[in-house]
Amino acid sequence: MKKEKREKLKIWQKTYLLTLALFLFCICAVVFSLAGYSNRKNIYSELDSSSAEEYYIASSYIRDTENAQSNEYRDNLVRAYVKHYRGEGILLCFFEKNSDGQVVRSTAAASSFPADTVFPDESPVLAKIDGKKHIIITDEREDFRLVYARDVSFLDDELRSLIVTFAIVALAVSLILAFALYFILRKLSLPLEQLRSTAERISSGERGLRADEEKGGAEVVSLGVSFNRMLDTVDSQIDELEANAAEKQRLVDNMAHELRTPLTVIHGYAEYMTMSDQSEEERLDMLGAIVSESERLKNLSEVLLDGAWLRRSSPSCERVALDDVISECCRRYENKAKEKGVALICAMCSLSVRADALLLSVLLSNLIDNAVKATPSGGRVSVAAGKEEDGCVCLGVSDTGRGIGKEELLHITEPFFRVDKARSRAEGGTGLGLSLCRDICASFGADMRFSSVLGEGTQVKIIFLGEKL
Amino acid sequence: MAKILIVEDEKNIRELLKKNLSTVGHICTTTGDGRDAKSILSDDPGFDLLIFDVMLPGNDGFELLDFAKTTISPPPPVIFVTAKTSLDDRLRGLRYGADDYIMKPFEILELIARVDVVLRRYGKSANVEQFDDISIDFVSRKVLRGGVEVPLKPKEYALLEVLVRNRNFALSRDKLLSLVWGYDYEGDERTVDVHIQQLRMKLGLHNRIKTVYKIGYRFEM
Repeated sequence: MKKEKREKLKIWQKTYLLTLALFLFCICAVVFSLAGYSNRKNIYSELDSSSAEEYYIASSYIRDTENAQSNEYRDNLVRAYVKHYRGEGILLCFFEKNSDGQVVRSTAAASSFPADTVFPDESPVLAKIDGKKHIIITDEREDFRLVYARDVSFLDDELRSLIVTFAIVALAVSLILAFALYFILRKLSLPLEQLRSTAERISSGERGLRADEEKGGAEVVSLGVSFNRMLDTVDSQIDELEANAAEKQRLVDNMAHELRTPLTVIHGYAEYMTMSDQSEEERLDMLGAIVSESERLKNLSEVLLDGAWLRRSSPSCERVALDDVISECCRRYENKAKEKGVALICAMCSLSVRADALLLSVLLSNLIDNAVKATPSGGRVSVAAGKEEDGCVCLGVSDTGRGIGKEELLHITEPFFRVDKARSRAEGGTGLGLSLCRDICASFGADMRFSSVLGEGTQVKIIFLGEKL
Repeated sequence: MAKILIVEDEKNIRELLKKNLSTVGHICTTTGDGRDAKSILSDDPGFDLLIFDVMLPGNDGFELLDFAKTTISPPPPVIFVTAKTSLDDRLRGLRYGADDYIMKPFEILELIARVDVVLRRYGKSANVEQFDDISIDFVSRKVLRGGVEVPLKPKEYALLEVLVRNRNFALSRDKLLSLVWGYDYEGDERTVDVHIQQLRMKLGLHNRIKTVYKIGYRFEM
């Protein structure tokens, strides 16, 4: 992990540096070629004007020596020319030629060049004289050779100052570019950075957070959208897992209570009776409690085993007349309902289903028992069979009892679930009844549906999905 | 001899707790309902210890704990008794402010010992026990008979203390051996018999320390 983190440049940083480098490179190339070009042009222009000037000097000299009387006159003239032009910064050297065209001599006075100058063979030529750049033109005439040199070192200076100027301008522009580009690119990459920090926050626990789907370029926006979709999926999976885990924990807690309570009584009383004295009456009371708690454990284990057995085996399937089941179960609870002052009403019908008669009877009994328990004196419990809208046979128990809350309804068929969180024994059982009912329904392909209103009553319907009329 | 309120909705368990604690001399009031408990506490704030089940109809034990600790001054100690034994539940109970947490099912001796410890912590346990002409000082571990100190060997004193603190309960030799001499003791149960004899003789407790047939010994008071 550490290696990857070691300074991987971000995209925008890379873009920035590359753009800047490219720009600087281009600017330097342009500056140098422009300067070079300008310099060359200048040199050519100087060359032109130098040529013209040299021609003029040579022509003047010829004109002036046309009517020359003596050598002395010529020497003086030469000296005058040299001196005059030297004042204008131009070096001249006159070479006399004899009648064969050979160079004969040049006097010191006929030259304003430095003494150790080596004259070039070609013309024109750029050469340094006394460290300064000069254009040197060698003009061969009939009687003389004129070497002309003009100081063009100023061109070099101009070039240098041009380059410096260009360089400064380039630098200034680069700096401006550097700033501007930095901010522009930063701003462009901001949405990405935000996305990253959102992800960071979510991973450290802020679950409801989502990425902003509006900001940024097209790619960033579509990344944000996908990102959010992924989070939604993950969130719903987490919720599901948490719900499952909570259900398992509830199951364990409730089972624990159902087992530990009778065990505490049995163990506690037995231990007490061995360790202390008590009256005969007390002893009988305690023994009675031990017996009844043992029975509770026995019943509990039987229901648990029934449930386990049911899940493993496929019960018998025969044609069962619903009438028979209804009347049998109602008969069983007739007295209990009457004692409580609850009216138990059974409606007859002529429907039948394929199911295990015994299991169906257990199922219906459980539902009727719950209904009677939940209904106060003066209330009503009705048992009836009929047809659903889609033609399926259904068997239902409804009561005018205390009802079940929406939250509770979600968990009601979980094993050991009790609406009464204290799990008191007075009105309720172990909480396994409805889970067993659910298993029984599953075994003959029926669906069990609840609807309830707190304070008004509950309806439970068993819908035999395989039986259509 | 503490005044204890027991709140537990299972009748049998309620009775069990009451019997056990009464036997060793505590005075117990019981109720099966959280609301009832609140009104009892409001009328009589003089309880030395409160024992609650965590799962009660109406209110739950935590609510009751809050009530007791905030409305009574000074707040009395509270012990939770419950079938919820997961680590999370235990931690929750203790962190919430309970002074101890007993899990069901429990053993009589454990219940008595835990109640004792909590009472001692709160200074509601007597430092001196007196009966007949005997006076036992639990703090200095000295026993006086008729005002005169009776020298007892350390194990003799320890045995006496165990018997007195668990009075009226018959304790087996095996149990006495492990409580007084420790689980690792390789000795004989007859060691217990010998020490009992010594106690009886030195302190004249022939009528107090009774031999219980087939079980062990019981200190009666």
